[in-house]
Amino acid sequence: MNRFINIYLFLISIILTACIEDVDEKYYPKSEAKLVMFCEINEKDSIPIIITRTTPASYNELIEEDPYSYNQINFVEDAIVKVINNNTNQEIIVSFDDNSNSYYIDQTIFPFINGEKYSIRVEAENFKSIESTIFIRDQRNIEADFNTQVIDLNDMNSKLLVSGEVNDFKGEDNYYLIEVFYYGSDYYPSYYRTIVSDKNKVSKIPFRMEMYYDSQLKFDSLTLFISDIDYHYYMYLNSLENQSNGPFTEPTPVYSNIKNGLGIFTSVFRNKFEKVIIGD
Amino acid sequence: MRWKLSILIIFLSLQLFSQRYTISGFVNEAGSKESLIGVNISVQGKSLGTATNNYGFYSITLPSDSIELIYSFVGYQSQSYKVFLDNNIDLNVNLAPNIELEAIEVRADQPANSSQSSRMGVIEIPVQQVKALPTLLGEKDLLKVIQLMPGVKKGSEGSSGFYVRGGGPDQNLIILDDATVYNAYHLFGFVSLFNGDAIKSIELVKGGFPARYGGRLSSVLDINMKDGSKDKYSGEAGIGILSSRAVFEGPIVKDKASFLVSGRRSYLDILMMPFISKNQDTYGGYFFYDFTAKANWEIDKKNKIYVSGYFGRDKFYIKDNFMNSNYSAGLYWQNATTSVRWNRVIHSRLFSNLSFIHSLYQLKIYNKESYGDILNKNIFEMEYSSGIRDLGLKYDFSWMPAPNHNIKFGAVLIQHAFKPSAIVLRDDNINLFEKNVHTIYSIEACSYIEDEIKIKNRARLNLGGRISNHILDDGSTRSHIEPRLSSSYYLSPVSSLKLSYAVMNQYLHLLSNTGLGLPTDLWVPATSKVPAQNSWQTAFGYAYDFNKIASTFSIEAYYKEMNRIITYRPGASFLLIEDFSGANEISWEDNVIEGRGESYGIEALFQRRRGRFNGWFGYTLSWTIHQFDELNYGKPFFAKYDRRHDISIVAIYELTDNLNISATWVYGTGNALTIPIASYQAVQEAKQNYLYPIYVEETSSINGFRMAPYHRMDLGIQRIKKSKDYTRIWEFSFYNVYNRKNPFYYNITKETHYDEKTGKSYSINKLQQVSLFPIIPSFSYSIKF
Repeated sequence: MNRFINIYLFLISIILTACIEDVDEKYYPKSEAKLVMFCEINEKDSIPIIITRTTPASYNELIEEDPYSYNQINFVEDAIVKVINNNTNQEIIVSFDDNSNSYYIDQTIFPFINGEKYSIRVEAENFKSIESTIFIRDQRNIEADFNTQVIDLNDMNSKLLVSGEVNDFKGEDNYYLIEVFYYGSDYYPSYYRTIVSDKNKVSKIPFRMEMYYDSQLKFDSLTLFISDIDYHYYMYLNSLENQSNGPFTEPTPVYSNIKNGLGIFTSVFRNKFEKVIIGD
Repeated sequence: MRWKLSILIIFLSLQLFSQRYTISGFVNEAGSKESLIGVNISVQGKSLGTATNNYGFYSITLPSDSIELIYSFVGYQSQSYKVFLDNNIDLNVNLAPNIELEAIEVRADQPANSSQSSRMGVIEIPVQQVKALPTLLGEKDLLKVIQLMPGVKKGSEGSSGFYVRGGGPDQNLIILDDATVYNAYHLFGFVSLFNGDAIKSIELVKGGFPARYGGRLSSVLDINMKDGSKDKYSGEAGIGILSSRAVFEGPIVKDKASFLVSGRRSYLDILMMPFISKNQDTYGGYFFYDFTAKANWEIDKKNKIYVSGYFGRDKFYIKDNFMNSNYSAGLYWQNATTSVRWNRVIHSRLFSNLSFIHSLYQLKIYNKESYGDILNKNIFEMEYSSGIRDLGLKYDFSWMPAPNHNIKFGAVLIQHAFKPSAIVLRDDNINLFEKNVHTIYSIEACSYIEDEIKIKNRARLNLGGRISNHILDDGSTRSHIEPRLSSSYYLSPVSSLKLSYAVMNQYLHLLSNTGLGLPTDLWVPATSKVPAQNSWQTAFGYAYDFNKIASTFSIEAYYKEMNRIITYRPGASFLLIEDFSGANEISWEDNVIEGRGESYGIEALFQRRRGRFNGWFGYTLSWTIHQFDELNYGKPFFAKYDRRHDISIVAIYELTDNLNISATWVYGTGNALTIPIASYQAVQEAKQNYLYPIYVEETSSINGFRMAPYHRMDLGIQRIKKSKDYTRIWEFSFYNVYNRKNPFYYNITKETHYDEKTGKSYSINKLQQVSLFPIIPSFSYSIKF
């Protein structure tokens, strides 16, 4: 009987053993390395434009640091990056900065003006040129109400709850990025963010953020930034949030507004709200 | 006076001319008294006829005359009766099975011409053919046979899930003795939950839906269980590689009442028991079982009662004990159906059936972890459950007022109770919460009428309509009218042109991440926020009967539009809870998006259902396209189960009375798939000279990649040995004879390698294909007594 069971289990294990094999490269989906851009125009003096590239399937990638690192960023250092004011046709070519691994625009030389259209064009050898254009709308003051609450869950853990409402601008689709920095006198600030939209057509958009932390850490102040962002940045951040939600989810493409490439070109205006955390 | 006499003569002659009588009764199998469904009753020398309904009842009304009625059915010896019609006649007929060439005898007088039927998109598969085909792991699986028909596609390798004319697995209504089966699969879809030994008939309707069917967009799979022999006790038992099964049937009161019980259980876990000690740190297992029971009682000639039920469960579990920590997790799902039916012959031309129906589907996933010593024990517990329960009442009538009319009408009332997702979580380290989702109730109330009309010898028409009402959980009501038409125009006695049109509404959705019909998929109701799915379908076809070789050829072109189909929003899943403390606020309605789809194509089928050599050849050319505003940047994309070409060849050959061989070959264009094509670091923010990147994969457009084509050949050999008291059947099957490595899924892996020449390390993204089943020989043995 035991012999029979052994044979049975052997057969079953053969049947249930999946076969894995490399796919011949000729059947690979057509894909070539693409340029990836990230540029967020804001109120700061210098605006970095970060240019990286993708690694397609079957592409041999030189490993420069940790051979098992998935975090190697492939900066493209020799690109020609041109920024154009489409209203005035003023152009500027920005050069690569080794320290920050990015191409910097100095707003004292080339300011971004509200109400005007801007394009960035990037050319690099062995890549398709990429381009993106945005309209920088006027900065608007955002009104919001919010409350904070610290809840001690047990001896080890506490929860910081930030909830409130953003007064929505009527008659148009709006998207907001809400960021929280919470500070303790002896600690680096902690950071949390969320994005909301007025897709439900309500006049006040509720938001709620819950942050867990070690009860040993005492926070005494909090800064909340609410930014008026465009549809593209909202979709980009939303698609990044939707990555890696486990084996039961379908792969989600990352949104991009870069023609022939990937990444995002956007403008963000931050409204700052500060509060002392009550209770701790 | 003369004119009065003339009127009298005309009146009398009209009376004489219109003098009609009805012959009605039941057709049963000789001996067992099992009622036979779809038996053809034709009048010799005339183009008149009818067929038995799902309970074996027939009724035909004819002018007073001397006639010969012929009763014929696949696998049974035909019988004819000469009668003189001068009053209504009750005629119950018993047909004897073909003894020598069971199920496969060819007779020249078989009148069942499919070209003469008004129905389109209907597939009837004799159970004997299901039993004769090769199997995977020795499991007779009727859903896998359904997959071999044109217009029906299988999901992934080995799966019993099926997709009809571009519809998802939720759009198939699977009915077992009038009760809906919500998840028809064991073993994550690899085995269907129907025990072939207990099944009497299978019919798949994929288009041209008669008005009596509704509630789903794409197909109706109507399965009837055997009633059980009223004559003698008999049974059948079998063992396969995966499971063992048994059926037992017999009379409760001879010729009056009978029963049938059947059961099946997998035994992988039992056979592994000797190898797993309870003291071992880690152990786990998987099993499934199902149990079917049916009883019927013939109260008198006009009344019959049927009671049938099904219960089946799958369970996967794992336990791990190490030092002071204990971990256990598992997943189980179960189906239960009950139906109580009362048949009544109200009048020789009017038949009724009243059904009370109960169906239940439940899924539970649990995970329990405890660690620490007795004094300081920490516990984490999570339990997720979902399910649907139906209570239904259905009253159907068949009225056959004249030979050229067969009117069916009735009403259906179903109360659905949904529990979309209930989560109970306990974590000593954070807090305790329980999310008990309120049960959502909705009611479907439908009424229908249809008439099968024969228009002389030129055409046949099934015209009908269905009014469906959906009462939502909030008390509001939605009503829809669903017109139905299917017709056949005879070009000759053996050929016809066909046309059909149907509007369908579906008041429940299946939320699925994979589209494969897994047990984790979530049944949810249509709500005011997520409205009912809707479709319309039209088809045009041609059918030709080759009577000399008992074969049929049909070709159909169809177009189907589906509206308000739903899917999870990008990144969401049935267990998506980013922050458990906020889970009370998560609603499944916020996790879904709404879109539309269309499917069109051509299906051809050449089928021989009788003869020593029988089987079919099927080909489908089709397109299925979906469009969701929030997916693929709003651009249309091919559905996962879009398949351009689909071919199936099925052949069964009876070498001798005791030896059958069978073969199937299938080919299908690869499934459409979304896969990663590159990787990169996406910058989320650039703050204070520091980048916050995230590793992401660039994906193809949605379902923009095609898997390699799927093809496979299976072979089966059946050796039958009969003795006086019992019959033994040995069966050998070879699944995937030429060991084709068909793709199950693809993934991208990053490999690193060192180049000695340059002294540098490189990484490479590689695309890998995972295949599931190589050539699999299997053996099963069964005995009938």
